[in-house]
Amino acid sequence: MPDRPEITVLLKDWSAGNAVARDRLMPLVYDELQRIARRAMAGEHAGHTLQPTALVHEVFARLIDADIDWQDRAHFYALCARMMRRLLVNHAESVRAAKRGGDALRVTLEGLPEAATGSDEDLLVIDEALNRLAEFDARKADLIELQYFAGLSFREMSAVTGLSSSTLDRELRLARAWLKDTLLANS
Amino acid sequence: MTPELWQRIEAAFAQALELVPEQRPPYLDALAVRDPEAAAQVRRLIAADAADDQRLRQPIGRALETFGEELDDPWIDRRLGAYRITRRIATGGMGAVFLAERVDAQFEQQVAIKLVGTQTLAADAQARFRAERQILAGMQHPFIAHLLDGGTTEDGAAYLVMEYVVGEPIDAYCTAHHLPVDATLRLFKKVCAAVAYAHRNLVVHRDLKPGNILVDAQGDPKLLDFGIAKLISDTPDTAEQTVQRLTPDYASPEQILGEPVTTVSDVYALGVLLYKLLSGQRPYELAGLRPAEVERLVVETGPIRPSVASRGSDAGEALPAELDALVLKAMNPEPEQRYASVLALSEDIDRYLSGQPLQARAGGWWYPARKFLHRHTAAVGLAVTLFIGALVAAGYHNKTLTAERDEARFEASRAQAVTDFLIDLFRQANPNESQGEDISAREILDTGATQLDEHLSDQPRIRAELRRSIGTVYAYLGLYQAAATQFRDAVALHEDLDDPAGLGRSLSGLGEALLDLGQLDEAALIHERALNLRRQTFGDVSIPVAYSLSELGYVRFSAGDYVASDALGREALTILEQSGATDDDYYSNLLHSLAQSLQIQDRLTEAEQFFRRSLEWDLDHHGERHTNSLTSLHDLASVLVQLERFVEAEPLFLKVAAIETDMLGPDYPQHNLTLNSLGQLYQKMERLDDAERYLRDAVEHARRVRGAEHPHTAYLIVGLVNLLNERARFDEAQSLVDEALAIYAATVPDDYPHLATARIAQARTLIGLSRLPAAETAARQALAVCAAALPAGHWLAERAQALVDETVAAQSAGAH
Repeated sequence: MPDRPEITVLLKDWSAGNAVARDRLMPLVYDELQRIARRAMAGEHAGHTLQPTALVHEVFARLIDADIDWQDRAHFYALCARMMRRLLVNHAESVRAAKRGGDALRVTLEGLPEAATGSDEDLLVIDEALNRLAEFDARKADLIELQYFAGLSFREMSAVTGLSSSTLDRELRLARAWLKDTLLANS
Repeated sequence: MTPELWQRIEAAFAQALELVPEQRPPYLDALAVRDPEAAAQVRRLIAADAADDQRLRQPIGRALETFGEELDDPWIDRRLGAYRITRRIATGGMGAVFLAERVDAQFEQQVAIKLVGTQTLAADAQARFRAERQILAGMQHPFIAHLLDGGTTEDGAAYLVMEYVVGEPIDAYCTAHHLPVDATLRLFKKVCAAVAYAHRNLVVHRDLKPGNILVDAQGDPKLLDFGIAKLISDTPDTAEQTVQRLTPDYASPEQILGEPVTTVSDVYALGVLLYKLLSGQRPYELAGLRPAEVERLVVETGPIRPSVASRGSDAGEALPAELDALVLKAMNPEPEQRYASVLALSEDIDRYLSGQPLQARAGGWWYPARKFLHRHTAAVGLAVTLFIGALVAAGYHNKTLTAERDEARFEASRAQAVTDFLIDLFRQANPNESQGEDISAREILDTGATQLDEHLSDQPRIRAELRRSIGTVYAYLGLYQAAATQFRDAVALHEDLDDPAGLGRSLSGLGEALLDLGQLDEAALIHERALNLRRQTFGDVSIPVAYSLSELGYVRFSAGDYVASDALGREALTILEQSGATDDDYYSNLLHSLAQSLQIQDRLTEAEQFFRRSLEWDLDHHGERHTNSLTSLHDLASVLVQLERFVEAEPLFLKVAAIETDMLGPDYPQHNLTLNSLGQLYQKMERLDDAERYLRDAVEHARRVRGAEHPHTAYLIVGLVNLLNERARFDEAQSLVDEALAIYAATVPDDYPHLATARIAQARTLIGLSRLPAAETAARQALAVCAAALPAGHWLAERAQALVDETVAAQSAGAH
């Protein structure tokens, strides 16, 4: 793994509009998220459930120098939220694929319960709806990611995005309303 | 969503939210006039805004949870042998299933790992597990998921590594693809092939069911978990445990009862599977029942016939009743009455697909004729007539057996009871209720059979007689299982009534039905019981005793025991003669059966004598223009051909042909067989012009009556091709043989035995046309069919081999 200063440089480059820097950052953040999640679930913390807020803040603390400016910070959290979403979507997709072939393998084992497929499928539906939202209003899709996948509070979001609380509230409410309506129509 | 529209929505949404809720509807109404498109969306968004966000929050939360659990799963990333576990697929009380990949990753291979039990296996159990595993690992079949590996973990739990199959359970596949009946049967045959392969390797699946049979993207089945049920539980379960562990719908009665499990237990499960695939329904709803209830339902009640069950579903295609017999034979609760092997089941499906009579309904020589009858629309009306006739006749025998004092009273009540019963049945079969579809005799019979007890609860004698009558009609319709049930009920009623004559008749009917079901041993026992009963009731020299003897004889004949069969037949004949009962058709039929038996045993001179006696009797009693006389004439002529007395045979065949056309009309389906017999006779007599005329007539007749696409037509065409080959008219022969082969290709499987005959004829034609390489190919194809369809050393195979040798030799001679 590249060291911290290097990651900070990548982040700054990306903030300055360098897409290559973003592409290099993505896998680093993805892996770090996964690693921290695994550690969070391991032995000493057993019984805990994953908290996206804690995960994202820890990733930030581990990868980024504290003294970066707010634009870089906003970019970083957006990236974390995006990677968190991707992590969960990838997992849900592989679970779905495994089940498709694996359903029948449960057979001779006594009393194997139907695995709860609902949550994986629902997550993929949300992912799909978010993709559609991003097609005509990418910023609102990003805000949703920050709130639900990175678990940021309203105040944190306001600080990270630099949006006024009234603007943020208005945008979030519309994005949520559109998503809720779309999910309802899909169900 | 266009950006412009979204902007308008965004503005209106923000504005609406700034209003107090009461002011929003008028605002939206006004907006609807200005911008209806945006207004409709904003209305919905305002409504959605009021709802909480659980729909978003919950799935993400749960996804995080399962993601976390997996990270927490000690099995993930663990190594078992050469594999690394990547994902848990399922967990249960007795183990778990994982997805895994090879550690060395020389090639990308995903596998499924089944962890069997979480407890340590005892040393002897481990040894047994290893031994079984090796047998299973040895099985290599394209339709069986391969067991790749196995072992025990450090903590002593056993695991199996299996091919990871991606596919759809076979029942879901058939539904999703709207598979027609024939295609379903062909897919099912592949399943049979896999199970038969396993049986040849002495492995019984024990838990066949849709979830165990996946269909892959190519439409091929893959069977999972072969023999795993045994591997997992080698100790005998209690019935209670078995029902819990197995899917009771597919478990055979012997499995449910904890009795020994054999290959025919898989036949049962395949029967249930086919039932499900064809009808869309499961034969029983067993979930949650106790073993005793399951037993009662499966063993005593039996399923609704699949063709009836399928009417309730949207299965689309109507299911031919013939398949009922096939499915129900496979899932007979008595193991020995099922198909003896998966192969036998598969072969009967072949017969169905190629339009031949099924083994499931065979046992009587008259079945093919009946099958023909079924194709005719008049059949239903005929069956109804028969049914009423049978009901009315039900009381007939009683006259002679009932004390005169009771007779009048009984007769009157019987007539009234039957009339009421009939009227009621037809009223229920009201066309308004069946929505204009034809009411089948079946439906009327089924209703009658179920309502009999209720309607005539106080008249057991009439009930018994009617049961037997309904049984007789079921048997006539080829529904032998239903017939047997009716006869069994009649037997029980007669036993209670202490009515030996009625009991004898019902036993006799039951024996016949069992014979038709192919249950020879049981049929023999029933007939023997009837025979003993009749001896006691009527004396040794009596007509009923003769009937029982000949019926028993026919069972022995069907079992291939010709010596016993002949002795019984001759004894029956003597009794009939001593009783002066030689004026009934029964006497002549017996003569004819004896003749056929002798013919099969190649005792041709004796056969000729019996055929002549039968013919003489038929002519005396019916004259020439009667189907019995025609059959006797035809069969006598065929024996004469076998004896090479062609000149005597010729006038007999000619007479049969003439009477058939005259009496039975030009479309009598058996007529082309007579024409074919004549053609072959003339070919043997080397009167080739005559031979050609009759063989051509036979083909034309079959094309018209059976259809130009029927395998029977193809069979007759090949006969004509052989003659044309003999006459060296190879160009004509070639187009005909191509036609026959095209018919076969469209109608029968590749290993249909007559295909060998057709290929041999084709090879001869091509030799005649000097097309030696093509001739060699045809001969080799004939050889392949022989290898697949006939026992080794069959004369057809020898003939095909000779042709291969001939063409090869001719080609090498030509090359020099």
